[in-house]
Amino acid sequence: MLLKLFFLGFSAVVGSQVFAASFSPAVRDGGSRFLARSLGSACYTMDSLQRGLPCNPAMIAKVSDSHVDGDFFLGSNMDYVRDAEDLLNNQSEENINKLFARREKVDGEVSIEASFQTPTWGLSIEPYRLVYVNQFQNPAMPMVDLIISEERNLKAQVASYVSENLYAGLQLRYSHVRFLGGYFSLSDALTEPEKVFQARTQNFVFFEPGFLYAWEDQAWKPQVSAVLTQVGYSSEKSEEYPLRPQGLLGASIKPLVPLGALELGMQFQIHSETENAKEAFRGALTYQVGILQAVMAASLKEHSVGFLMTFHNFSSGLTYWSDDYNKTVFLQLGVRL
Amino acid sequence: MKIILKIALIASLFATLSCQRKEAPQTRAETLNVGFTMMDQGRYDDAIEYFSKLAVTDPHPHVKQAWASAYAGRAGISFSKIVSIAMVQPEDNTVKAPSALMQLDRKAGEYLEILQRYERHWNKVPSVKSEQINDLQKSLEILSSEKTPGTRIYSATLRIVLLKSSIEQGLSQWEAMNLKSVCTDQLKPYVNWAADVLEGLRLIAVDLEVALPKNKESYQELQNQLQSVRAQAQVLTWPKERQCF
Repeated sequence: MLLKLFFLGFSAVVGSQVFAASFSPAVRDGGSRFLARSLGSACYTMDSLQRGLPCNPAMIAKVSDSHVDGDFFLGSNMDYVRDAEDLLNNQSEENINKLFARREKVDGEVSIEASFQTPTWGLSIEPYRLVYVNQFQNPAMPMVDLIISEERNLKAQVASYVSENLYAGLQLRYSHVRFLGGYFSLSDALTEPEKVFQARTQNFVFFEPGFLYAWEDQAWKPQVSAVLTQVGYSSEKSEEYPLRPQGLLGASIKPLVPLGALELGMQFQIHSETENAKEAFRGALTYQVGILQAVMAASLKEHSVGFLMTFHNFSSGLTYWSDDYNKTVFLQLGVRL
Repeated sequence: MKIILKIALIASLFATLSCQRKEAPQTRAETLNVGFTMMDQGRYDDAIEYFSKLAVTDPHPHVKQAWASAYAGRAGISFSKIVSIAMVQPEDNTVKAPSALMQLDRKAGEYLEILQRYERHWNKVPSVKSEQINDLQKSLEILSSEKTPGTRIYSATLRIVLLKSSIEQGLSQWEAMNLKSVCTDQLKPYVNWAADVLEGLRLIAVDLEVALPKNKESYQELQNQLQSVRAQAQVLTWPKERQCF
């Protein structure tokens, strides 16, 4: 009954609205940053890779011990940064052309997050996150599609074992966002900078339920998940930060291997920008041996590959993320207490 | 069994919802990007036609600016050429006008020093051929209907390019005459040409007055001065008989 109600509500929310493009779903995702940029949407089903709170709130009911995670996360399109630096050093026509000829949507972010989790609940605070998205169009008089935002996020997860291998959880997420930008021409920016670069504030409260059905007594530990994310309330309406609910359905298995631990996952994710069923699928793989955990994930439009190295209480990770618009390298540094 | 049925229901719901076709572009950015992609591919004629139709249904300043920029792009005026004018560092101000000129007319001497200081900027202004001038004029015609500061500064920039081409054309025609003496009937077209140059400068000042309202008074004073000189040139009386110098 609960599941039926959940999905009736989900179909009403997701099917009713189409929004303008702004940040990609990976940037707007409420999951822990490294998980979102290494596994992508597959993090809602796979639980081998752990940093911060799990993406699917139902998974926190499976946590075996309490711990605190602190993470620093940073990433940007390195080619873009190099071109911008070249232009700063030498304002030649060639360097101007090189930077403004870019047509990909460039994004980057830096964040600091601390989380605490116990077997049935968890709390995360992200006191600072800076994220930007930028795209140039028009070779004759560039139009700039830019958002630079500063976020403060607070997440709380609570979950419980329900019955028959079923776990249910809820994530409450509060975001305070201060951002500037929009769609403007460079001539607008030159003549009316106070109007173009006017900072705006938006507050969000999200209610994100998640379910997990895990056959833990099976050798391969299969599990299926269903999550609804980015459903909630916004204090203002903006093109840059629209409410964009998404539904996720996934499955994963942990085949037995002679050495290390392997997990394979498949996720089905739909939101207002999904064009067809092929785009909605994402496959992922994690393989851990010793202190090193490798991650690979791919969908029709996005690919990511990375690793996480954990030594005693410290971890460091590197991820390469590529989509239709952008290629970005992300670095993660973390500590677990 | 119940769980399998529930999963099947969920999967069918997702499959139904995922079969939605992408709608036509909804934001102005997406709509404009169709034309910009044509420009990136060098299909300026197609881009001009696309933007001209778009401007009918959506006469937003960004649409008109895109349409005007398509003409400017076809004329070879890319953004990097425009911005490189501003990126050049002016010469240092150690260059002084000849002292004789300063004694004769201090103001003229000061203007000459200013021109020498910004000569490198002027040299960076791109030149266009006569067939491209039509595109620039069409671009200015489109921008003339918009009064936003952004469109005005773009208009001023394109006028500077047009002005340089006009000046270069006039000067090269004058040099081509290779005259040992100059007669009144030969001078008259050049006086009219100079008046057109002054009018071009005045229109640039009009654009800058809207684009940069903080300096409104300066640009208004400049317009008045240019208008005054042009008016004087227009009332010049020419001798009835041909005179040569």
